[in-house]
Amino acid sequence: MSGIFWLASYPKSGNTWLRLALQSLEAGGAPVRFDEDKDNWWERKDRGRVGGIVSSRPFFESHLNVESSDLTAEEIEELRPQAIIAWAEGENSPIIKTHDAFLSSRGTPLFPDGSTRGAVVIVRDPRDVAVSFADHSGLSIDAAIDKMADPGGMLAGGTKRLANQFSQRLPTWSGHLAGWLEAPVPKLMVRYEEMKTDMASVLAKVAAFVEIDAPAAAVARAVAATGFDKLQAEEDRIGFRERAPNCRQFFRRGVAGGWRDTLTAEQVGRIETDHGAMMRRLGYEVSA
Amino acid sequence: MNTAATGSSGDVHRHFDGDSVVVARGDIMSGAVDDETVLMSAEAGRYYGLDDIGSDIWRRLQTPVRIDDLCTALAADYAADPKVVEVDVLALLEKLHRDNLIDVTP
Amino acid sequence: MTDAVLCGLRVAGDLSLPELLPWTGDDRAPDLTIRLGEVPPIAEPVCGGPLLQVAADGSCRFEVAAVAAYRVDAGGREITIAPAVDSDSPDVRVFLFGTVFAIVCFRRNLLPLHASVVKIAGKAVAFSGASGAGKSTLAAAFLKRGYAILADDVAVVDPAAPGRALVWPAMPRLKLWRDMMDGFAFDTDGLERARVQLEKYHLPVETFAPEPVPLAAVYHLVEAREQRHEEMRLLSGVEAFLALDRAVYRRQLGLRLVGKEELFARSRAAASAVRSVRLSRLVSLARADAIVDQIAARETAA
Repeated sequence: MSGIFWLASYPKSGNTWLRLALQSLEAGGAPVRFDEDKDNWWERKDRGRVGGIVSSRPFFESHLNVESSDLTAEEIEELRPQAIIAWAEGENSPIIKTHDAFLSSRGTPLFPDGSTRGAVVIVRDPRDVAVSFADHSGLSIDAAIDKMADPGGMLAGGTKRLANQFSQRLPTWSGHLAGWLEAPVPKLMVRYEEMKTDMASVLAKVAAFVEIDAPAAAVARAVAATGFDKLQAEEDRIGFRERAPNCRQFFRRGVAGGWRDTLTAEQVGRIETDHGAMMRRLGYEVSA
Repeated sequence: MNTAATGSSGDVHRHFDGDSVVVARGDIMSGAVDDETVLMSAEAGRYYGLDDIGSDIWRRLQTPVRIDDLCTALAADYAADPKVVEVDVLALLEKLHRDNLIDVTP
Repeated sequence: MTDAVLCGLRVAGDLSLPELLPWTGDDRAPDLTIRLGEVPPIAEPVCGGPLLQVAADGSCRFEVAAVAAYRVDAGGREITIAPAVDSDSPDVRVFLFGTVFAIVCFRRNLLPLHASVVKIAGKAVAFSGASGAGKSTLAAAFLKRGYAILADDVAVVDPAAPGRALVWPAMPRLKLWRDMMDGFAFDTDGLERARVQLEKYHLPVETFAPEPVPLAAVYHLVEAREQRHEEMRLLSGVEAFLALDRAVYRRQLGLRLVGKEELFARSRAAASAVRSVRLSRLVSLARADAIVDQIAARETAA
């Protein structure tokens, strides 16, 4: 068993963008298509190594042969690592996205020892994350900031209607990052801000880490294929699966540093108080 | 004539000519659903749909046949322009070959 | 103790199965026997995963640690259950009527679909979709309008009946989450929960169709994000086949048990016997009645 590469991040940090760029690169820089066929990504033998998101219910169910909505939250938490192990057995270093915290609520790794080859940890300025998170979930910015500071925070959790994904644990923005940066696995950290200014270079670095061939021409094509205009047009055409029910559009023009135009001084203050230590550790400038 | 394959589109490389002999692979399951023939490649776990003409061709491929002979027979049976038939048949055979549904010799 | 009917099978055994209707058919020997007993691990499974293993003789073992271990014999005729809780607990039956019954179906040449089925104008109409897609909710909306239910969540189809696919009635109940119970103004008082710890309820159904009915149509439910993506579109050929194949309940399990070719044959037979419709709609309780009207009109006219 050769192990999985995780693309790990707090939500709204550019994870999907990177996943699509890698998928494009793997296909030599081909355009991205949001096919509904890709729902069962782990079953398609011709899909390449870049897959979907690990918190998918159908993924869990097909490996455990049980209806996940018949299980308690505790049972699900205990069984998710087993589904990962069962799947990883037959695979050749797949590259899979996740927003889950590295550790489960019981303090044990959700991502089992021995099935992880490495993690690409994608980070983004939490001030921009707050703006984007609010947009995506239909929350007010203050509510988004609360959520980013909530040690019991969850994604796709607390909704009455079953989502096609499990709730993913988000133990504050800082806690989520700390968990991944301290995970005992080989890691590569990339920044959203770098992706915005020089995606080609980030993509090449990630490709080397996850062992995807990255000739310069293919990288250039992959970057072009995943520019925001292209992704928005495709989303428009077909309706992007990952979008939350309240979110009008998944691919909005992401701007690095756009928080300055949107957050109040008080909101900035709250975020920097909540997450100052991690921000400094990652090199994000904190206002005086 | 259409194949609604669930695979991606690919380049067209000529792997064969009029003298080549083609035959459907034995491990391909097929069956009718509405007006189409659904094929399943057990090995790849992929599915294909052939329209009525494609289905006829698939039937004819159950025994080995020389491509030229296949085209001649189709042109006669469908009272169609042999040049058009040849282009369409070769295009279909390319797709079937690319997705490993037929064997070609040489 | 139990002598009941489930999908046309005579079910007997020492486990109480209150949700099933009593057997009123002929005096044949039971088709399916359910007993309490030991279910030891399989020493050398030929295949399997964390919860389910298949033995060389074709028998299967399935276990949910906090609830029970189940064994199904190779022919899908005998089930043995070793409960980890009180044998009367509804938790034991959740998996019995889920994964375990799916094994029985695959072994008995049937095709279980992840679908709820109602009877419209003398024919069976199924709503398929993933968990949370709204199958039971749509069935509940039909129920409120007086239509009869054939099955909820797992629908058993005999794909080999000549020229048609037959739906075998399961049990007179719907499984609804709390918010749907409230939304339809169904009272949860005194109702059994599907699992002790989950807010999912078993709603007994009075209008139940107890005889098998030919399956006329399968509506594949998809959630539309925006009104402009809504549609009710007839599928045909390979699209219809793919939609039906994806609707197979515990499809991976089916693949393991009967193999790709056999599963293809059953799915294809079913797909060619029914109309397949892709129903993409905004999910909202307020719209349910309008959807009921649309589907009822289509199916009555068809």
